[in-house]
Amino acid sequence: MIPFNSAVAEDVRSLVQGVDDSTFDSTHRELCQLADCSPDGCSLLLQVCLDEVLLNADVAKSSRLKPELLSTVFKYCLDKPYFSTSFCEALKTVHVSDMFLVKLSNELNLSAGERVGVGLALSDSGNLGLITKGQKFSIAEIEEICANPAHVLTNDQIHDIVVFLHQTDGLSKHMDSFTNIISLLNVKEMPFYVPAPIKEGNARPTISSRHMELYTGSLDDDFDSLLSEIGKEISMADIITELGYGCTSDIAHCKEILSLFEPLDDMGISKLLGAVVCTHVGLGEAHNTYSTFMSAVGNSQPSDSSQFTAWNIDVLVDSINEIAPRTNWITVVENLDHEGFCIPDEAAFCLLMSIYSRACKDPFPLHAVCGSLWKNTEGQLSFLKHAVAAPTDTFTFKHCSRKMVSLSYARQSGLVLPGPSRGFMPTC
Amino acid sequence: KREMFPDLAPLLWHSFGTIIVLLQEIIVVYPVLSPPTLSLLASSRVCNALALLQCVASHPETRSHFLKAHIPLYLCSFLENTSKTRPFEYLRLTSLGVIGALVKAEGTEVINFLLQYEFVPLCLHAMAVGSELSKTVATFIIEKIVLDDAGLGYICATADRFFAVGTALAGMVTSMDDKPSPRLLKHIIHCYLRITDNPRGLEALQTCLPTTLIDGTFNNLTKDDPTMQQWLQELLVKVRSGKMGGLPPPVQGHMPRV
Repeated sequence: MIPFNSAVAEDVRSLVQGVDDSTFDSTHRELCQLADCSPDGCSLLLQVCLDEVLLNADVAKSSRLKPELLSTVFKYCLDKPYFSTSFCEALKTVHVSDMFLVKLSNELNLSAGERVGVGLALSDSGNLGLITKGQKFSIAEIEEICANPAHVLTNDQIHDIVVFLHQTDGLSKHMDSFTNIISLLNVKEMPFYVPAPIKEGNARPTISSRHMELYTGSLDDDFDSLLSEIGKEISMADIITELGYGCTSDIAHCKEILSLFEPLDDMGISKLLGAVVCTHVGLGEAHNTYSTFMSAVGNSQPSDSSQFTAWNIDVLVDSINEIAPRTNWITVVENLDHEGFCIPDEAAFCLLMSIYSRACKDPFPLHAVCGSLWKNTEGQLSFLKHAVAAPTDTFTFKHCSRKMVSLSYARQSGLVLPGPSRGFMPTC
Repeated sequence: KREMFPDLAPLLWHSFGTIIVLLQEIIVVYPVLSPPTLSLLASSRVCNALALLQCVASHPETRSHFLKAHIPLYLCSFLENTSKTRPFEYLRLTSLGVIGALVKAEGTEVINFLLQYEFVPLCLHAMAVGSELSKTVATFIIEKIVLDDAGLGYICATADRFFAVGTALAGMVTSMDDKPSPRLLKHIIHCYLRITDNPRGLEALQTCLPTTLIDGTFNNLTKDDPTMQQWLQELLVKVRSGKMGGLPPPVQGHMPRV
């Protein structure tokens, strides 16, 4: 065991004072070995650092390399798990003035993280005065950065400090203190993360993310929902249109086919309506495959063997309402804003309106098509284009909650309105 | 109605002629892939065949047969396509679903197959051109690959491979500024986090991790998901820890003193 006494301290002091280019590396190694020995060695080394930095800073004979050596050695000690204990021990023989920590940090060229760390390290002191001085120092460091217009305490700086505390064994236990200090300040950018305090003392967790079973579990759950969505994304609307108009030959067959896709949700129904509207003509060639698919997906053949040439919307709507009686048709209309939806012509528009009036007695939900900009803007425009041209018995804006001009005002202004029965111009 | 038939996969695989019929359904659309003239009806038909193949890929009894027969290679043409129209997007999505079903099962056989036959570039391609759902499934596949030690080593083995993966992940983060997707972001973060387990990957990420992952842009997306939040925390701690170097290494032994 190395005897720690004044002789050793004097040896260390002379090494520090006499350091030059040829002895820097060897001196540095010896001092680091001293710090590695034990908390006592670290404490002695820190004490010599403090003496040299503060008491002998102006001695003319000081070596040019001494400040660099002291800074490097101090930072090396800062990384020791017992730094707090050793630092507080070293301070027992030193008068700690209010400017002590400031001068120390400046002389040693400490970074922002290191300065905050030194202040927080005093939390281990039994001296309440030291604890208070340490906290004030840390807060002052942070406030100084905040007060400087050119140095806003950005997330980067907070990250640096947090990471520094996190990875420094001796200081990671002060994370809570730092978090509390941060929450007291008006940081310009709110930090979006603070690592959770380490529970098990000074241990640094190095668990590989690969072995976190909890996450793997949630991962597979996520993928199951993805697979389900893939199936739903492609299935119902496309298969109905592929099977063709025969699907709506009568309610029994229609329900049999729709039941393959239970439960029907409002989004799925909305996509089905979009597909049906787009294909009110042109599915004649599908007739040849209808009987083949019906034998695959169902047991019975349609009694009427004549070729189908159009959707039977009454059958379709009644089947949907029987299979999914809780369908919210307002939501179905709102979900028409989906990729691929389009009103190709006036007949398609009339078909959509017929479906809605059969399904729901409420007025058509104008807010769904006029209240906001769709993601599928082409689809929205195609709807509105035919809506404004449609006769009022097919579609009306009459129940719109916002109106721009009255008929008389329009007439006075010389506006020409399409159709004699249209009384209002909507702006909703 | 695949869920109603737990033994559908063995029935499909072992019944005479069924698999070859499904493969014919796939091959018959190859001519319309380029130039892209695929119709929605034809696409839907192929997707139904792929859905049945996905059953075979998922089932423990038939998965090995599926791989030994190299069935996934028939999907490469669909994954390579660059068209973004709905018929091609459906093909891409369903093909990714088949690959995803393969990797969902734990096992090095699947990962080795995908690495050997260069499926990583195909997934990166889907991450670049696919819809949000395609991007998510493709990222899930890459995530499963890097969770495997061989997969992680494969991606970090050469600079160009890492760069390709990093570019694809960063590209999705960048495009998410306009269309945020919490579930896609979660998979991306987990990929990055796993890459940090490799020293070369960690070093490279320190210079190419997207800024928007650091500056709080996605606070709104992460605050509702504790798992994603923790993954992002760990990712940033790991990436920034590497920058705090410069401390002298600890010296062994004691100071000799007479």
